[in-house]
Amino acid sequence: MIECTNLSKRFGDKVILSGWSHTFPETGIVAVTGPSGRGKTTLLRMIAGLDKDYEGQIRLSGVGSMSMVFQENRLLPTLTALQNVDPVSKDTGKAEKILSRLGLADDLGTYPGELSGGMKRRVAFARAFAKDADLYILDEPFVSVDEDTKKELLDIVREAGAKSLVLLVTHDEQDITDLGAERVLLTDPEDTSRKEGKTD
Amino acid sequence: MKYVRGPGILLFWIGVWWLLALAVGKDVLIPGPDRVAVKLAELLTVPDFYKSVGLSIARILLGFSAATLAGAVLGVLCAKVRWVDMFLSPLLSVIKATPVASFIILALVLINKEILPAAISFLMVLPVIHGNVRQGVLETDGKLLEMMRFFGASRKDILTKLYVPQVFPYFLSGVRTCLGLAWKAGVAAEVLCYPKYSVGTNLYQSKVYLETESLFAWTVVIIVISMVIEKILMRLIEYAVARRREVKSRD
Repeated sequence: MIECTNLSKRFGDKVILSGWSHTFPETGIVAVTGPSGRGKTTLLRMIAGLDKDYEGQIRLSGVGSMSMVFQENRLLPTLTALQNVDPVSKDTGKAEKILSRLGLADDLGTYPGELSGGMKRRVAFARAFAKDADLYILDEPFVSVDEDTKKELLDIVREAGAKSLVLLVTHDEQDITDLGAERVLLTDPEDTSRKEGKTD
Repeated sequence: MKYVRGPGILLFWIGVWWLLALAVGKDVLIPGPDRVAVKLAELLTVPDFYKSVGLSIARILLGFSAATLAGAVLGVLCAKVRWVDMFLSPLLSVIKATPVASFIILALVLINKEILPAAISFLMVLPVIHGNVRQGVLETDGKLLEMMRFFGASRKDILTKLYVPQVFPYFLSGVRTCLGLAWKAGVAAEVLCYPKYSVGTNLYQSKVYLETESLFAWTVVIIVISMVIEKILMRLIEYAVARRREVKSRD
């Protein structure tokens, strides 16, 4: 469970969050939505512990480990697809399995510079899900992937959501519907946050 | 075609040199390539030639290696520790801007002339390697670093998989620039401090005794050694990089 209490965050003069509170469940899929610049990525980064410059409190209970798909792929250019995933899973078999599931069986030894945008995204996705985690944070994970791959990615997210919590930022309403995700809307910081509830 | 182009261009410039020598008509000013070649062949038969060349290479490589190591360490330190950067960067900028002759003349009274060329090469190389490595570390992708830390990468992994590959091109470019620089500065130092056996001392004596053929022959020696050392070092680095990649892909 993640409890966010009275979170406030600003970038210079721009208020991103103001006294925002919300409790996320232990398992399931929650989509954080809202217009651009409303702090969706910032909120995920705060929960991930990557941004500590905020007011308020975030309590993670029962979250022993977390994994993440960043907004950018962030692949190490001098490592192959497998080598990028491998250190995270610490289990070559698992890394190979998930890369193969995402259609990259023939590209395990390929370097990021030789992969297409969609393939790189799949490697970044595989890296996050090669690790067993209590919390998965996905920042626009389906960007630049084709429809067939997206179906596979959605399946993986659903499977993860059954035993862990998946926090997701996406601009695609259809993805939220397909995943049956709970929706949390970030609006103008002057408003109190609104939880719109499950879409399914 | 490329095997013809290189020697062809070389022959062209030797031809220009020949014509120039003919036009001037005085060997004491510009000797022709034939006379320089004969002088060079003579030099190759003198045992002291090899001693001079060997000791010059040793001195300059000593200064170059020490500066490469120190520059890399200081570059990383300056990029990572703000106060070290505040103290060292201005000093290294001053060293970089100071004419090599000033250092040589100043060092003549302080340092033994046998190692002075090494010290001068060190001073010329240090700021360049430091600057390149510092820039490489500063420009390392912060997002990749954040990702590695997030996924719990060890310090060793962060160093070997992120910093080394990202900083290496900057380091390599510095090494490439400095090889010629170290060689030229080292020989200049030898000319001014004339150690017993050195390329620079021979160059100086050629000038003093107006032996222009000898001066040209020693200059050719300097150019050839500089090119050979650069080629050998670059090959070694390329080999090390290829070997590292090979080992990595086997892991």
